[in-house]
Amino acid sequence: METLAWIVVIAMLLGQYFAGTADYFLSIENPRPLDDNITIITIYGWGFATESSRTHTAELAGQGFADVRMFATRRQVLVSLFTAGFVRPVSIAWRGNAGQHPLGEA
Amino acid sequence: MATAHIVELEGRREWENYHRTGTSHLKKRYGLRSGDGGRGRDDIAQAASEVQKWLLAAKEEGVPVRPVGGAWSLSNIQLVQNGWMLNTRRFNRCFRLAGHDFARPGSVDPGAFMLIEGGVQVDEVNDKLQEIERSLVTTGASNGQTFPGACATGTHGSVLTAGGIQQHVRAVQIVTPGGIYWIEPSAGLMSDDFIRETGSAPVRDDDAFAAALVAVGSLGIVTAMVIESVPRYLVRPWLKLIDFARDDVETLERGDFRAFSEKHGLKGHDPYFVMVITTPYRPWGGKAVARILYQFPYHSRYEHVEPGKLGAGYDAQSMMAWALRQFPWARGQILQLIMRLGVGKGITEERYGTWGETLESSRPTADSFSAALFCDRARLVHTLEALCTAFSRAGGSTAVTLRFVKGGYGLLSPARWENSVAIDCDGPGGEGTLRAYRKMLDALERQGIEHTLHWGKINNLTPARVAANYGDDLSRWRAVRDRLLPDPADRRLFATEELRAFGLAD
Ligand SMILES: Cc1cc2nc3c(=O)[nH]c(=O)nc-3n(C[C@H](O)[C@H](O)[C@H](O)COP(=O)(O)OP(=O)(O)OC[C@H]3O[C@@H](n4cnc5c(N)ncnc54)[C@H](O)[C@@H]3O)c2cc1C
Repeated sequence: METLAWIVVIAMLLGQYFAGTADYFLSIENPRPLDDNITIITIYGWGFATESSRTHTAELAGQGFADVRMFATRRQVLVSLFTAGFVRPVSIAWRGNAGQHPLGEA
Repeated sequence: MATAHIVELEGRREWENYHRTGTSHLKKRYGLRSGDGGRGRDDIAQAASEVQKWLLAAKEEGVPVRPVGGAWSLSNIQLVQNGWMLNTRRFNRCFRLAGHDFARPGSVDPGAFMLIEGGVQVDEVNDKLQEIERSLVTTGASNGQTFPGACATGTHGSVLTAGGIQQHVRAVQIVTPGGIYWIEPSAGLMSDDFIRETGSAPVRDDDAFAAALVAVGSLGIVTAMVIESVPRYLVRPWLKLIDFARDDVETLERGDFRAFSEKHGLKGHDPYFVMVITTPYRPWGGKAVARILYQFPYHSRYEHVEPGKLGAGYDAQSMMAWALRQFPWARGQILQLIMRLGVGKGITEERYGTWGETLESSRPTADSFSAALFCDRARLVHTLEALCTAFSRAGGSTAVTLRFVKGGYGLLSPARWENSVAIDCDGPGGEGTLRAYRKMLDALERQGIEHTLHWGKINNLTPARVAANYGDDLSRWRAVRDRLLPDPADRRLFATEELRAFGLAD
């Protein structure tokens, strides 16, 4: 019984670890991306400390996003697991859009 | 109305390319931007003049420069150290041409041509052509490169009758500190007035044109191109896990693609595109993924589906990236298995799309490995066997993809045989894979197996190897470079460590 409980706990932890590194990706149609930028946002205290002081601003005024990707590296997931989720760093990768021009006349 | 201009994006910083295979320690990073209206020729003339001023300023400062397109090349040829980088991706307008823009208006269909700016991505070209009911003949497997960046390395797909993407190019505008050149074949294409209005001096010369088609970023900054397209068409994809036998490789070696397709694909049709993904430890005698495309006349009564449903992303590089994102720990045979399982039922039901609809832009994957070797199709069995034996013996476990490309279209096109095959090795990065690949290349060299390597992917090129591969064509390319960049200081402006390693820069 105890062994089974351990197996379940380990499976849950491993599952959290792998799922933590999963990659959430959101893109506009025809992204035409500019260079990749990565910002790491760390959330403390299970989300209680996520107020505006920790909101990041991407320097993209007038351009818009081509795509946004959210993921945690293996190291970031380990930090989260070992602090029981108190420190939860995530990486947000985003790319600006190169702009869409109509077909012009030469 | 804003005209084309260059903006300083940031000062001293480190910059990484798309797949993080290399870092530039930059003094400054700039962006070239399109104007927001007006005629194409005026935008291009303005941009070329701005680029020339920028080059002269760099020359005065004594810093090397580098234009960067999609930044997709894994060979780091878009890096520059202690220099200035010019990001071109916001210089991205496309324009229709009119009959009177051409030297011989009666003899061309102006609707077949398009003027594109130097930072336009392949995806954008596909969309704009679609708008005017036209299409490219071929591209690489994904569409996020810029057109000039893709041409710079001879980017190719696997359309059986086509060469690299540069086969669409009919004229190139190149800017150096000493001039703004409009390069065309000696027969000429555009009218003198048009060329003058783009702010360029005409260079109608077959060697200069052939050198500019695959310039490996070494002849100056490409600010515009005229490309020729074909009427739009539909393709029907066929994607399947097949039993891949030695006989099949022999069939491909003979170029009997119809027979290959009859056995593994849609019966009764000539294939337009054939690609096979196998493994180095069992190149034949096991399972492989075959992607075949069939061409059909365009009609509007087809159901539009997402690129993925047309087989986009089923190239080894994208599949490997997908597999690694889902299972970051996977390597070797396990990774290959996951990739093959990813093919699932494949695509055999009737679906159609235009060429552009079959492509999508891949997502960046750090630590990926991608290399491509070109050989004579007539030696495919021998080369594939030697490559796979040496690679797997050295511990290489990437996917191995066969793609078919026509030779020519540029003095430095790596597809040097009339019928060339590109053998790609795509997989997770790491020292082990790199070492195994290099060992494999050494083994091929020792065995005297003729091959060339992709300029934009992992390679072991040295000036001596490049000279041996390209021979007289390299001398002709150098002669053109010395004509366009006669001042050694101008040549040094475009010299980087990577290009020196190829013997293309002093
Ligand atoms: C996901 C992925 C998929 C790929 N698929 C394929 C494929 O199917 N087939 C294939 O053959 N290759 C493929 N490649 C390789 C890729 O197509 C080439 O490396 C291509 O050259 C990249 O184009 P880019 O616009 O990103 O150019 P960059 O990598 O930015 O630049 C390439 C070179 O061109 C120069 N350059 C860029 N713009 C200009 C300009 N305006 N004027 C002068 N020089 C310029 C740069 O300085 C550099 O030397 C792939 C690469 C990746 C990452």
